[in-house]
Amino acid sequence: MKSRPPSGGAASSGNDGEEHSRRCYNCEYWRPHVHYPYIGYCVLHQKFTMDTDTCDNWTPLKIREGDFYWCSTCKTRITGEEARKLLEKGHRVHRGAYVDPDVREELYSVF
Amino acid sequence: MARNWLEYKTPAWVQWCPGCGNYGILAAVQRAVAELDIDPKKLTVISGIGCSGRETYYIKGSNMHVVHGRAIPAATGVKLARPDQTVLAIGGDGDMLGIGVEHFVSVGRRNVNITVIVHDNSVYGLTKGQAGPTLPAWVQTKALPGPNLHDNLNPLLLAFASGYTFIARGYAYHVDQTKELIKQAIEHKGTSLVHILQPCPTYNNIMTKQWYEQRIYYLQEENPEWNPLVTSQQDLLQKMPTILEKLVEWGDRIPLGVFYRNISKDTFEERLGKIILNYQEYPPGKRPIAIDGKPLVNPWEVFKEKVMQT
Amino acid sequence: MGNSPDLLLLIGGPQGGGIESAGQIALKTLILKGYSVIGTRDYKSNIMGAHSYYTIRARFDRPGAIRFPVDAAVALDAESILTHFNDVKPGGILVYDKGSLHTKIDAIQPMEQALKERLKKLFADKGLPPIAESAIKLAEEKGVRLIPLPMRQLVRKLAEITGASLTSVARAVNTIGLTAMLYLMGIEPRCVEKAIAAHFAAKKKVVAINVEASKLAVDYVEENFGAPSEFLADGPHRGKKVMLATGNEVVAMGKITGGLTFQSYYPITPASDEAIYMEKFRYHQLTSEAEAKLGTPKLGTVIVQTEDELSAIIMAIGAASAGARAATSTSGPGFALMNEAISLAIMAEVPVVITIWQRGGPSTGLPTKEGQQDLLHALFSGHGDNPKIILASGDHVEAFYDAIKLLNWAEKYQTPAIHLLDKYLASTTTVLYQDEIDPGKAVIERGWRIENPTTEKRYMITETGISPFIPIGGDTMIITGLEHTEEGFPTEDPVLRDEMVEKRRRKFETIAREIPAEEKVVLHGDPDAKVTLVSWGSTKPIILESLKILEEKGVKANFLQIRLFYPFPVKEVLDVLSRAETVINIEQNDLLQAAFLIRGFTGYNIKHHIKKTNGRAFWDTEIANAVLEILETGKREVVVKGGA
Repeated sequence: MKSRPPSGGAASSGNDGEEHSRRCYNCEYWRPHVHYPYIGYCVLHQKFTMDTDTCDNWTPLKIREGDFYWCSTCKTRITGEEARKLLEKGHRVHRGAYVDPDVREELYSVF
Repeated sequence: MARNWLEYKTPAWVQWCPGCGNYGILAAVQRAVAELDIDPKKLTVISGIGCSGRETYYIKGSNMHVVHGRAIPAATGVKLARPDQTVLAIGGDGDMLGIGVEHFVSVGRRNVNITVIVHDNSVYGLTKGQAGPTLPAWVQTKALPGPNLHDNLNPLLLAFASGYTFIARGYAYHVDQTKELIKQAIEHKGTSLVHILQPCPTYNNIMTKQWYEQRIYYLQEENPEWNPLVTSQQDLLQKMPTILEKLVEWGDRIPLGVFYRNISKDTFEERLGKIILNYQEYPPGKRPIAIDGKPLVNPWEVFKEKVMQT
Repeated sequence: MGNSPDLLLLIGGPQGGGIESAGQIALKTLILKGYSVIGTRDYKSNIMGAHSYYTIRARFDRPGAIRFPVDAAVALDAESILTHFNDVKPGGILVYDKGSLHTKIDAIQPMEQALKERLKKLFADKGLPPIAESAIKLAEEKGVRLIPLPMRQLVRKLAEITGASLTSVARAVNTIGLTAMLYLMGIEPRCVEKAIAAHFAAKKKVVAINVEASKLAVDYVEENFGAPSEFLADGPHRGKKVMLATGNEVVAMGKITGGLTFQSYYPITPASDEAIYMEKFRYHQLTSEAEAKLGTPKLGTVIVQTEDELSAIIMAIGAASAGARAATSTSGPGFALMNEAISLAIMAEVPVVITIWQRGGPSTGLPTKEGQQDLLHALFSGHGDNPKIILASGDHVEAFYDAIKLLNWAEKYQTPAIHLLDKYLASTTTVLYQDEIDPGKAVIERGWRIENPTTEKRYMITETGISPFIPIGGDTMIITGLEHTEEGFPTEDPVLRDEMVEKRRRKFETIAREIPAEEKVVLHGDPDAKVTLVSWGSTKPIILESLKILEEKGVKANFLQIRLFYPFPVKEVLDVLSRAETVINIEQNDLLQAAFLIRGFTGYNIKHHIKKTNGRAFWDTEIANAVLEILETGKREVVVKGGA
């Protein structure tokens, strides 16, 4: 399948409540940044895109009960069962989150 | 080039109860270090608390008597500071496997070149005979108000799982055989365990001399082919089933002798030497720290990653 | 060189969200500008995601305290806006992401429930909805200059410029915010760019991305808010060689400079950063003079991570007994586990340094927050009669030399020596100058050591109470925790027991006599001032700032800094306190621990106290205001509560 570069989204305000379809943020291949979830990493195209971008390879996120997901609204890992409920409440659920590879250098000793 | 074992006696009164297994162990240690010709100043015996802890006063050495359960970390500190010292950490089953069990386990991960000698009588003698970590469940020795509700742990298996590279078991009244085990343990490079079964005639009326002597046997005597030597990881995997079978044998028959001797692992001192290249020559206990009271380092050079030119 | 600006800056964001680098880059920018700086990180007991913030102060002379409100803040997520909107001065700058304004308070999972409730009530009272935008409105009403950044668009642009090489998103995001703030405060973009290059050094790609991010920020700010009317004057420290280090790092440097050869530790906050830093340099380069004399270019310090703190202290005691210059490092909970061994080291007369980095207790308490709650714990640690040397450092420079002095004293007097420090000092970064960290001023002494004794005995009874130190391997003997004879054999003889008790007492009398007066207490300011503030530890530079504020308000006060807590400097403390008209004690604990000790040791009962127990360090303004309040009202106690 021919893919076109991610586009659009810049004009949208990023209002979390706004309904988008076929956007990066609800695509199977997209991992939002753990701290700044308006940007994320597309594992298919191996590049950063914005949450409201899209492309021809957009694939809906499949929710399965036994799997784990990342809720960028709650900033925590959730199960498939929880994911269904949170999606109904308007939360953003993803296959996983993107963490900067050098995040260790930003972390502290905390216990 | 052996020394006379009497050189390792001290003026201290040996104050154990009559018939205590510690006498046998003390004699075995003194004979072992004498036969190995270790200068008393270069010998360090370190103990925690317990009847056996007094041994540090009875063996002539450059010794330490520390707090309950902590002979092993003290021994580690001494050995790392002076790797040329022969270091024995000694203690009872309560000291080594009860209050100090975290150190008993952790020293195995480091494989520091010290010898751990556990005097195992399954009771706490100095505090009137409470159950030790190696006393089996439902056994009621005479000082206990009721039967012991804890299971016994297996010191050899624990040592094996923890990474000790030499594991042996002796019997306190077999001074000559135990002496040989201790000699081999001292000569082994790495953390070695000599687990010594020891009747406590005062408090343990169940695991008595007779009880032990009906059960013990020597691995080598029963099977002249017995070979505890492991020279590689592959060798270990091959011999593991046989070794494990003997490590867990306990009950009607109790094996003695060397169970396991792995010469394929580096010691902690050798690992340090790969990072601090002149560690053996300048160990922490002997290296210079100043010249005429002045530091040997300049922090502006050593920590130059923190330095900025504005 | 004109008048010094006095800049207070704050960068907030999620832990792991690039705040640490942003803080460090800000510090380096200001250093390159020729200023003196301090910066401190405040974070939660969480690895990733909870709110943290970096506060910085810069001016010509070294600032001693951080305080709110600040001149400018960066808040690039909703929680940062909601946490800090009130921490910016009227006329100050608040840089934020306009994309996060509609975030509802209740939707921010990491935020403390108590803070959410306070904010919701505040907003409701003002008829505002419970969203981040309400905080911005209140800041605007207060006169804060708002700098909204369209982060979504800026980050998109950056992603387009840098393409697939954009990996460190969080850092780039913060660089945009940070540059916007620094530029508007009057700092030249080239200083920021140089600081980025210095900070990421060898990581060329990361440097390039962040320089791009910085340029984007400058372009956007210039276009939408205009360039700053003028750039700030350069500071007086340009062209100098300086060091930028935290308290943890400075102590590590002190120990290695002081010839430490062995350190054991078990991981704990806020202590382990010290040992970890040391581990990086465990095989270190000697000076060329030392290399020539010793014939080796490098020497090692053995660092061992142990299974627990019981092992850490005993391993150090073992190594010290065998002649190593040994230390361990921990915090309150870990030190609690070390207590039994402290007593052993006292009885067995083993030289060991214990570095305690205090944090908020009791129990696990506030593992990542400030507290000075372990003074009594340190002093009374160990069972039985339990004297040990206790020294509290007031700042980075003191901490460096004190680390060396304590190693000297521990060995000279063969006793545990405790270095009392705290989390604020641990995680405060400061600039240090060459005359401040000067190895030429460091002296290394080991006392009476005999490697190969002839007639000397390990526990020889002497006039001074000090026996010869004979390392293990030097003689046959027993280093022991039992009461002992001169050779180390156990004894319960009543006469010998008392002789040994008296020998150990004489040793501490010797210590009290030999430690110079200036190490015990320091009286800062006018000795004849009528008001004397008393405190200890990391409050020192903060109180020195408070004195200046008080002077501006017409109150002349001096400050008695207690450094040595044992042997307690009774005479030195009484001399000062008895001259003062009003004495005010300042501490970061609830029990007023130092005041308790002063009363116990000297009989002087301090009547006024300022304390802070919320886990945040004092501000200079808080102390000054509390002093004024006490002088005005005669209050016994003022509890200050600043901090986010």
